[in-house]
Order: sequence, then structure tokens, then C-alpha cells
Amino acid sequence: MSCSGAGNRPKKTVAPNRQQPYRAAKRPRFSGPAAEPQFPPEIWEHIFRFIPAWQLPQLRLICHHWNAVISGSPSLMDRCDVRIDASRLNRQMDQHYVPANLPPLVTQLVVRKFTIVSCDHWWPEFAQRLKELQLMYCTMTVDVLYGMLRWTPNLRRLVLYGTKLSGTAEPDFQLDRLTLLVVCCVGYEDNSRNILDGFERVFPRLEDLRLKNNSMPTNILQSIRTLQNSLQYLTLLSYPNVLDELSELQQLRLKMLGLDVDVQRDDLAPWTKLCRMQPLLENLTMSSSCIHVLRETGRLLPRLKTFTLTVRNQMVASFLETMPRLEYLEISGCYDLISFRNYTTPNLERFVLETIETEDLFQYLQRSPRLRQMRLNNCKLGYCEAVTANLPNLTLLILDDLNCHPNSWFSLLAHSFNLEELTLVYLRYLDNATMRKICKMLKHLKKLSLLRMRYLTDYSANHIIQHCRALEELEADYPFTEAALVRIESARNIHVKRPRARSDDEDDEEDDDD
Amino acid sequence: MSTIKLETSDGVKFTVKTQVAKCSGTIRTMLEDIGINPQDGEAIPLSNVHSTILQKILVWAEHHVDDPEPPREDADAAKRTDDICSWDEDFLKVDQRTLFDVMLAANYLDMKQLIAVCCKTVANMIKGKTADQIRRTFNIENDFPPGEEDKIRLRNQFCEERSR
Repeated sequence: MSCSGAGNRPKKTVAPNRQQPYRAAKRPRFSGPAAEPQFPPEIWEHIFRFIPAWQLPQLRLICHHWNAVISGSPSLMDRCDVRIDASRLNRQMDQHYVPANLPPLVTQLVVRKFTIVSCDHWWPEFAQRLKELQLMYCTMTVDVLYGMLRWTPNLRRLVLYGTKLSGTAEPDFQLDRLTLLVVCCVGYEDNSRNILDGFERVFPRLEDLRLKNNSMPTNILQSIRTLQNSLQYLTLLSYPNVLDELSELQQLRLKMLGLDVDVQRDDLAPWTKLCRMQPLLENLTMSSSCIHVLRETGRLLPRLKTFTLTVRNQMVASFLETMPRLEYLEISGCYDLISFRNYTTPNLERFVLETIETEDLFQYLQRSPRLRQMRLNNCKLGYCEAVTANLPNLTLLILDDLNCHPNSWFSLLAHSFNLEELTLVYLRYLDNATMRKICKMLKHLKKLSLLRMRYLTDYSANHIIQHCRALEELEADYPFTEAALVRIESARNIHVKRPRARSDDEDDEEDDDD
Repeated sequence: MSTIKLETSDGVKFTVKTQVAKCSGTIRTMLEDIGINPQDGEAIPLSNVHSTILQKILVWAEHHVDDPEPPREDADAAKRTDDICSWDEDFLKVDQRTLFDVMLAANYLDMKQLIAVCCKTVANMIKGKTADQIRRTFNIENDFPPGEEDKIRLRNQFCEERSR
């Protein structure tokens, strides 16, 4: 049956055909796939609203009708990024360039690796609809940038990533709707001027400002002062010496603050002043190994729910006492020893530990009954530590390169019987027999990833088929042969993700992920 | 408790509690706005719904008759599909054809909650699958002439999940 748009209008085709499927429904011997569903477009649109944004472009390639439904729906197109990419061509965007076949209703555009000289003749009309613009690895003058932004009255989000800028310009317009500005790894031709001079006048309602690793002068405080009344989320990475000045801003009331300045004992005075000024903070990213600084942070920020900490030295995590409302905790370091002693975080739901050494982690976890998701990366755990109480709410667990006795991670898995997603990377001593036990224990597992597991063979594939009855998705690299993967796939309609073959394009992408 | 009669496309008559029948926006409109009087004993004709499907839908309506109105959601955001209640999950464990017929009938009868839960079920059949798996699941023919598929692929090249 074909799938043309017009044929699916309910009044025309569904009514005369309706006897056919109903009669068939009474005959159970037709157990194969049903005839293609004859839904009106609005039902398909409703279904597609439940599909994640990354999969929508793929659905446009299924058939004409699906393509028509998606590209004709403003709310679906709103969730689709469209990219104009010059990575292979190294093209210039000049007065002769017109992007081919831009779908209608695009609201999110990514322009990548272009040298933009001019886009005057197609941009003004196209840009009216844009809500999000990302310029990645583009080269342009500030004059051209402002020339483009002048035509985007509906822009909500602007991202400049790895862009090289030159020249100067005085903006004479405002984008009232812009709430998010991300400027990351942006360079300026001679590093002597601040391209952001005056940006606060263009984006007077900015709520979320993220400046990361830019090679530009850092007199950013003047702009933040102007935006004090609207800013709620602020991230400043690679901006040294901001503590004093930030703590001077009287009207700034942030919900989220991210800094990478290492706050030391000597900084206690400006840091506590800053915390006092920001009693509404719920989300904080910071770097410190000073227990006084951290305890004062918790004491002065009673609303803190999300805390991301980088440590540079060993410590006892006594600051947890002062942060009873934490729901998200992430600690990373450089194999620094952290002791959790008998501190508790009763509301903890998500926990990340990266490149840390600890001897009493499991005891701490057992005192966090609400824990839902956990990631342990590159951590060294206590030699014989074991989990002894159940973690009934833990549904997502990632164990990546743990350095500990196998009994430790096994006891963790054995007490996490409600796990739905499990990722195991380079877990030493995980063999087929242990895999069998894991498969038998974790009855609710829906997604399983096994990466760099050198002791597993195709026997484990059989255990997965036999015991993981709820499994929907498996990701695996070299432990299994292709034949085993096919067997898993066909056994119970499990979606198998194979390791991706590396192509030139991906190499290219990797260069960019700095 | 008041009841009304419904007549399906194949001429079967159902006697249903009025409250249950009113789960259907279509029937509600017929009763309230158009003024069909159910006391007359006259059956409301549902010319697009077969009796086997209506029977199934009435079971659902009976179970959900006291559900509160759902909150209005943001139409633009990607929505969850893992919040189908276990009763509904069992209810929709039927062959595909029945599922699709239930959806069409729910659409005709304007039963928003039932449509939503069916759409989630179908979305779960699509999520994370490859194009070929999807075509096989729904028995869809790839009706793009060779070349045109590439053109669309180019058009939405590198679409990515939003970082926010």
C-alpha cells in the first residue's frame, strides 16, 4: 500500500475501507505485521511528538507521508536542528551562496565551518523564524555577525563556538527575546579587544550566560553588571579574578553559578561575601579543596540542590553535613582521596564520582535511599568494601574502569536489583560466569552496554538471551562475534548497537571536541 | 444511574452508563450540544466503529471513568513515553491491527487520554529503531525514488539532539 499524504484523509479512504481491517481483527491467524496503519496526519503528528529530537530526521526518510507530516508541523520542526555544513568544502558564504533545499519552518540552524562574508539576499527572510542559531568554527567579522543578528527578532538562543572574529561594529538594534548566550572557545584576531564590548545592549533580557575558554580580554564584569536584573544562570570558565567583582553586584540573584576558579583558604572572605549575595543559588559548580570554604558554601546556600565540585587535594567530605538538600552531587579530582565517613545526603538522587580514590563510598551510598542514577568513572575503591543493603531506587548505573576487588562491584550490582540501564566499561575480572549471574539478578534491565570487556565471549550472549527478558537495547564492542549479535537481535527483537565504523567525517568531528 | 444506547457500524447495540459514554468527546457533544435525547431509547449511531473495537474501548472507559483531567503540557517539548500505567500497558497488549483500530476509533470518538496512551505505545515501537526496522514494523514501503532519499538526507543533514 502506498503512503501518499492525500490518501490518508480519514473521510475519503478510511470510511470505505473500514470493514476490511475489522474483519481481519477477528481472525487471529494473521499474526504477521498488520497492513500499514491508515492514520490521518494528526495522529502521526501526535505519535511523533513522543519521539526524541535526534530521531525525527530519520523518520523523514521512512516514506513520503511521514516526511510530509514532520516537515509540515511547526512544533516538530521546532525540535529539529538543521545544519549547513562546509567542513569538507571549506566554502565561503558570499553573495553567490544560497543554501540548497532548506526545509520550510526551520527554527534551529547550525552553520558550521564557513567563512561568512555576506548572506544578505537569502538571510533576511529566512532568519525571521529562527529561534536558535549556532555558529560553529565560522570565521567572520563582527560587522557581518551583527548584520546577521539584525534579522533574527525571534532568536532565543545564540551559540558561538570556536568562531574566529575580527573587526569592530557598533550594534544599533536589540534582540529582546534572546535568553541564552553561549560563547565558547571564541578567538579574536589580535586578542587585544573584547568583542563582547556592548553585547549587553543587544541582548537586554539575557537570563543564561555561558562564557567558556575564550581567548579574549576579560573585562566582562561591566556587561554582567548591566544584565544583573535579568541574569539567572551564569557560567564563567577561564575567567580568573572574578570573585571580588562578582560579590560586589548588589542586584544579581542567580539560581545557577558555574566557576572554575580554585577557591582557596585565602579567598574565604570574597567567597563568603559572594555566597551571602546569592542565597537563591540551587545549582553550583566550583573548584575547591578547602573544607572551610566548602562548609561555608553549604551554610550560606540553603537551597543548594545540585553541586558539582572539582577537588585538587585529599579531604574529608564534611561539607555534606551542611548541604542536606542535595539531589545531585558530582565530585571529580585527580585520584585524590576523599573520605565520606558517616555523612549522609538523604535526598541524593544522582551521584557522579570521577577520578577519585575512596574507601567508604558504599557505606555512604547505603545511606542515600533515594539514589536513582550513578556514574563511577576511573575510581579506586576500598579493597574489600561491599554493599550490604539494597538500593531499590537505583535504575541507572555506569561503572567505567573501576579499580577495586571484583567482590565490591559485584555486591553493588547484586543489591541494585531494579536497574533498568547498565553500562559496564573495562571492568576487570568480569567473565562469562559472572555475567550469567548478573543477567539472572537484573530482571528489569532494559538497556545494557558492554564495552572493552576482554574476558567475555559469545557464551555471555547466550546468558543475555536466556535471562534478560526485559532487554530492549544492547550496545557491545569486541567481546561478541557478529553471529552472536545477530542471534541476540533476532531472539527477542532487541535493538543491537554495534561499534561505529570510523569515517573521515568522525575524525573531523573529533578534532572539534576540545 | 442513567444509561444510553450506542449502535456500532455492524449494527450491534450496546447499553452503556452515560458517565462512561461521556469519556468520548464526540458522544458528549452529541448529548449536550446537539440535544440527542437518550431517554427516547434511540441508539446513538457510531458509523465508524466496529463492535469488537467498541467493546474494547468501553472496557478502557469503564476503568478510567473517574480519572482527573490531565494537566496541559507544553506542545513543543519531547514527551515521556515511559509513564504508561501498567493497566493500560496490559490493555494495549493486542495485535497491531487491533491497536491501530482502537486508535482510529479513539480519534473518531475524541478520547484524548486513550489517544495519548496509544500514541505513546506506537512511539515506543519507533524509538531507537533503524529505518528498516521501522518500515518492517509498520509494513511501510519505501516510496522514495532512488536519489530523492539522499536529497532529504542532505537537507536535514547532521540533525542532532539539542544540548538543552
